Amino acid sequence: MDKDIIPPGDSAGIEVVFNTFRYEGPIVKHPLIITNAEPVDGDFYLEISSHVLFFPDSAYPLVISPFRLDLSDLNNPLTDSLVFEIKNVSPLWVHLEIVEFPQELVALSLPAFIRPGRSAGGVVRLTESGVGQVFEKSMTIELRDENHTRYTIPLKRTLL
Amino acid sequence: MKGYNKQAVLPALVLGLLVGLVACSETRITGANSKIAVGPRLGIPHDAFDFGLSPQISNISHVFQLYSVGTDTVRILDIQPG
Repeated sequence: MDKDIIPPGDSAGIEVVFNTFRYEGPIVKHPLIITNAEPVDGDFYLEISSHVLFFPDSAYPLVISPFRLDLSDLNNPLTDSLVFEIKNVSPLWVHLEIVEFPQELVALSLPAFIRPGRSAGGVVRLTESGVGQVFEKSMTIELRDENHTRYTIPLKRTLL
Repeated sequence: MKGYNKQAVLPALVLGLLVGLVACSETRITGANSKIAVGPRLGIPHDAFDFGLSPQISNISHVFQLYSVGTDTVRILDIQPG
């Protein structure tokens, strides 16, 4: 939470962190937020959900490798980058869209689409402010398929 | 008053007055047809987020935006994990 007091007309962000532990399959969590707001929405539940994979290599229609990105070895925003592979294992074209990523920490580049059976690379770079920070975040992408399939890829930087 | 049942009209009048008072206490007209709720009020455009497929043993995160849409300061008193 970036602040716990929100003046009239202002806004605040609440960051909900979900540890996937050794969960497997569909998981739904409902963190409770308690506030002084009136009348009935003072206390309210948020909802986060995910389908946790035991075998990320068996994901469909995309297989992302690696499925956890460690950015600890990146130091120069201009020259250092981390490339991850996105393989389309389906018989259909897949179009990708970025839903969310920590823009203040990383820059993200994704292919707009991947042909059936082909692979393409995604690229992550640190921003200037990301170089000086240790963090555990994630980025979420969504496919333009009928299920609006989403993938969330953990991003971690442990060393400066 | 012919045709009026006093016993039925009086409670209806009182009820109407109460409803009016409650309505007045909850909103304040600020002009140009806009209304602001009186007191601390929250606006939450999205209260659910789907991460989709994710790997085990990882921390993944999402930022929910909360808006203070009333006339008083909203205080986040506690957050309890789900």
